[in-house]
Parts: sequence; C-alpha cells; structure tokens
Amino acid sequence: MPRLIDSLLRYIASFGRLTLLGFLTLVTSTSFATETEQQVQAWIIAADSYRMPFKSGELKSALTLYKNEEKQQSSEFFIQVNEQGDSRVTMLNQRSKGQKVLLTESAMWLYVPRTHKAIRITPMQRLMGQASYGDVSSLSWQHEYQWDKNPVVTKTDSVCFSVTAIRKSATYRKINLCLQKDSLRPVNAQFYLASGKLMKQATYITDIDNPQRISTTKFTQPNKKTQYTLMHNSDYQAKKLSKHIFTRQGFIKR
Amino acid sequence: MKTLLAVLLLSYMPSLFADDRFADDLFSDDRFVLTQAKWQDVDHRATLATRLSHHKVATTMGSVLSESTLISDHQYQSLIAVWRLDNQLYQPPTQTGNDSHGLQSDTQFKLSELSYSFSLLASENDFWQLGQFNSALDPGYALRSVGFFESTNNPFDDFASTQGLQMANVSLWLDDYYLSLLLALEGNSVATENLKQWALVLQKDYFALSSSFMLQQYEGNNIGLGATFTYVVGNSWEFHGSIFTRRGSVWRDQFSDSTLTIAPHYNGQAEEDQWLPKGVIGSVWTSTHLQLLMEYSYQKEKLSQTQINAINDFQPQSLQQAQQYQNHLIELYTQAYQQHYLFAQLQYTLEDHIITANSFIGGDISALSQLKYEYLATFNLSGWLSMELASGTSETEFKRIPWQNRVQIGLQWKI
Repeated sequence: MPRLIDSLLRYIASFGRLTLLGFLTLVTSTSFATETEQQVQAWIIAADSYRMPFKSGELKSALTLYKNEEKQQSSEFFIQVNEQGDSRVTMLNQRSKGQKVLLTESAMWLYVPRTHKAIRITPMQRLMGQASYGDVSSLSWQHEYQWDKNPVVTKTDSVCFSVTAIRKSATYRKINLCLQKDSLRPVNAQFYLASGKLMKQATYITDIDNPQRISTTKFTQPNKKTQYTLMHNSDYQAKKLSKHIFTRQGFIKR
Repeated sequence: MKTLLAVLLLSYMPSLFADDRFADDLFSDDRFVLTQAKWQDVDHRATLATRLSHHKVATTMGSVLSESTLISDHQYQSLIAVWRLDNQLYQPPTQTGNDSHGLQSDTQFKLSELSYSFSLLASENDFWQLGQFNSALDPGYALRSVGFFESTNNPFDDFASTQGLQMANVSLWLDDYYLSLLLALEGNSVATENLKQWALVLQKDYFALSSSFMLQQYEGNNIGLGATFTYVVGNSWEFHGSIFTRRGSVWRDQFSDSTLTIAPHYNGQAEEDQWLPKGVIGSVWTSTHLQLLMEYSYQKEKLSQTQINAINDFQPQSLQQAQQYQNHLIELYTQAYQQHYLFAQLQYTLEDHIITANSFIGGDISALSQLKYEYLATFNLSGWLSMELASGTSETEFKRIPWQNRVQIGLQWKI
C-alpha cells in the first residue's frame, strides 16, 4: 500500500512537471506569436505611411493604361479618406464623371448621377470595368487586412508575408506583401481573389523627390503580359473630413 | 416654377457675395482672370447621345426615327442645374389624303433639375435641399415599389427622362440614424402633376445589411408604410428588396368613370378599402467579367390575369363603345399594368466591350427582350447596337406594343 501511494505521488509529480512544461511551452509560443503579430501589424502601419501620409485627408489619383509600352488611356479620381479607413472616390474623367464610390467597413456603394441612385456593390463589382475602384480606394491595408500567421519570409533586402481581409468590403481576399527590410517601404504585392486566383501584381516605385512617399504604383495582370497600369497619386492634403460624407446618404448628397 | 427660381436665386445671392473671389469678379480690374477661375470652379459634364431606330411596324413617328439628346449637368458648390435638349426627326407614315412625305422635326428644351442645398447647423448634421430634383429611395435597378420621388426609367432606355420633381427636403444625421422628410409639390405623371406627395424616411445600416423605413403618401392615395433593404453576401452576391403597402381600392382610374361594363371581373366588383401591397425582390451576382441581375415585382393594385382576360374577351356592342374601349386600352398600355413582372439581365464585360441581354417578362408570359453590344471607343466616346424583340401570344401585354421589333444604332459622346 505505501508503495502504491509512493508511485501515485511520483506519477502526480511527474504529471505536474509535464503540465508545467506544457504550460511554459504554451506561454512561450503564445508570447512569441503575439510579439510577431504586433510586429507585423507595425510593419503594415509603417508600409501604409508610404502610400498615405496622413490619417484623414484628400488626394488625386490617375490611372494610365499602357499597351506594348504605348500610353492608351488615363482616368482620374479624387479620393477622400478618414481615420477609420473609410474612403470616397469621385471619378473625374469624362465617361464616368460624377460617379462616386464609397467604401466603408461593411459596405461599398456606387453612386450613378444619371439615376441619382447609390447602389450597393459587391467586392467583385469593384474589379469590373477598366479602372478598378478597389485599387484607388484602398490605400490603407491596416484597416482592411491582417497578417494570416503564415511564416514571414526574410530575404536579403526584404521581408515578405501574407495578409487576409478582415473587412467585408475588401477588394481582395489575400495579399502577399514584400517590404524593404530596413525602411519597411512596400516593394511589391500580389493580390488574390476569394477563389484563390491571382488577380493582380503591384510594384511600388519610389518617388525620387520624396523617398518617404510612394506616389506611383505599377499594376500588372498575369494573363496580360503586354499591358500594365500606372497609378500615380498627387496633391496630398491632410484634412479633417465630416463623418457624414462617409455615410450612405452623405455620400449621395455631399 | 418662376416663383421657385426666384426663391432659389435670392437664397443663393448672399452666398455668392459672401465669397470674396466672386465679389472680386464683379469689381476687380482683373475681372477676366477671376471670372475664368470662377468658371473652372463650376463642375460641368455633358452627354450628347444620338440614336437611329428602325421599327418593323410603323408607329405615329414612322418606321425610322432619329433621336438626339444633349444632357448637361452643372454644379457650383451647392447649386445644381441639369437641362436637356431633345430632338426627334422622323417621317410620318403615309395616310390617305395626305401627300406629305417630308421629314418632320420635334425639339424640346427642359430644365430637368435646379436645386440648392445648405446646412444650418455648425455641426453640419442637417441637410436642406430646395428646388426641382430627384430623390432615389428604392434599391431596385429596373423595378421599384417605393420610387415615388425619382423619374421612372425604362430599363432599356438610356434616353429616358430624368425629370425632377419640385420638392423640399430636410435631413438629419442622428448618431447612426438618418432621418429625412421629403415634400413634393407635384406628382410624377401628367395625371398626378398637381398632387402633393410626402415621405418620412428613417435609414439605418447594420454592417452588411442596409435598411430604410418610410411613411409615405403619394398620388393622392392613403398614407402607406414601406421598407427597403440591401444585403451583401461574400464577394459576389447582393440581395435587395422593397415593400410598400397602403389601404385603398383596386378600382382603376381609367375605368372607374367609364360607362363600359367590360366584365364582372373587372368593372362593378371593385373591392374598396383593402391593403394593397407591392414589392420588389432582386439579386445581383458578379464574377470578374459576368454580371447577372434578377428582379421580381408584385403589385396587387394592378390587373390580375382574370381581369386581363376579361378585357381581352370584351366585345363592344356599338361603335361608340368600341372607341371608348380602344381609348381605355391605349391608356392601359402606356403603363405596366400586370401584377407580376420579372426582369433579368446578363452582362458580359471584357475591357472595352460590353454585351448585355435584357428581358422584361410579364405575368401573362409575354416578354420584351433586348440584346445590346456596346463598344467603349475612348473615355469620351462609345457606340452601341441593340435589337429589341417582343414575344408572347397575340392578346398579351408586350405583343400589343406599337412596334414588335426594333433595331437601334447609337453614339454617345461625353464632354
């Protein structure tokens, strides 16, 4: 009987050590993951600051399509963003002049001036047509995406990782991002649809006059080798904007 | 309208002179430069569209019709003006005793919209709009049940009128709610042009669901209740709908004063004071190049199949009765008059090319279908070719429209 009790106590002790070891392992791995998650989030915020140098404000964006290195067409947009990551895009070129797109956390609306109607559109509808509203309206990865916890790949000059959409209104379900290792400036990105299809690739071009800003982005599509689109952002202006203009009715009326 | 214009101008004057640059415009030596700057502040856009239609069956405008429309939008700060110039060039069909074979032209100028908006509160939580304008309340693309303050668009017709109503609107943003009161001094059609209409609208968005609730009185009818919703599921699906109900009679105006007794199903058995619901439910599915839209509508106050059959079976007993019957039918055919409609649209977009197939199907299984190809040549210029075809048995709605098939070729230029 004493031997049985002794064995039982030793078993409990060894179980306790194992439990403690397991607990410590768990704590260690969790803290590592938390730290990395925060770190990656900080990288995303740093990367955003190159594309949008303010939390709330206005800018202009021009998309120019090139085929066989020849300029084809340009379309211009006026973009307003707020601190919550909501954005409004107003079309400035002739064909769709007056059309507006509102992108909020949960919904996306397209305003068509001819019908005076704001229609709710799906993320896929953002990709239709020649100029994708999603590309010009989405200047803030930090509000739309989060790290998917897959390992970060560290290269000589860059760190690469993938992010998944956290907003219902996000255009792409997943983005593979590569940032410059030291500066955390975006280098390139690959954009995937929910189906897993690679939709677009982007190369971020440094502004020679202002290395802290990315004003030009080159978009290519895997099945269109001879053409690309350049997105050039300009006229950045930090500004506090009324919260009503980012609501459904404020978007129609103001 | 003149009074309205005067009110608008007077309300706009102080803001013009409050703007220093405009005052400089008027009184500075650099008048030309400043006037030019002011002109650049005005947001303009204009669309010039022209189309040539060929109808298989000649209408009162003949079998070949050329229509051109210039729509011009101007906006300066909160002042909006939209005007429209329409021209129709046609050769009327030859009639007995009429030797004229020349082309005839009909030109109309209309001020479609003129409105001024402002805010009285420093927080800008309020929005006021006065003038002639449209206010879209229904989420439907082609079919609507609560669209009382927007021009009724033919889903196939890019040239359809967008004539605004003379209205006053005050709106408030209250936290996450939006409250709006609309008062229209006129109705949407010739029959209701002197009737006041109003609506009180409350809107609230719950993440993927956007909703509106309204209390509305339109076209002299009893007050009714309505609601709308839009909902997005995943990346590709959107659902929308609207419902409106009021108490009233199913007695149709065009037959109510008639001495005709078309059939017991139609005349003489009109049920008074009952709930008259109407609703639209629709969905849009989108992939990278393809978009499918489906919408279904039901209106209890329209004609049931039994009533339509009664009209079709009616045999006039005299010439006078036959004439009266014909006049009623013409009135009926100018509007959608059945209880059930389905609208389907399939659109394929590939860069500069858009192919669209539309079909508008009535409860009597007659349909008006359209196949359209559009080419976006530049950002300013696009062209299209479309074919419309009516189908159904001889006594059905779309088989009675004046033309049975129509071919159109058109150009649109945006400035």
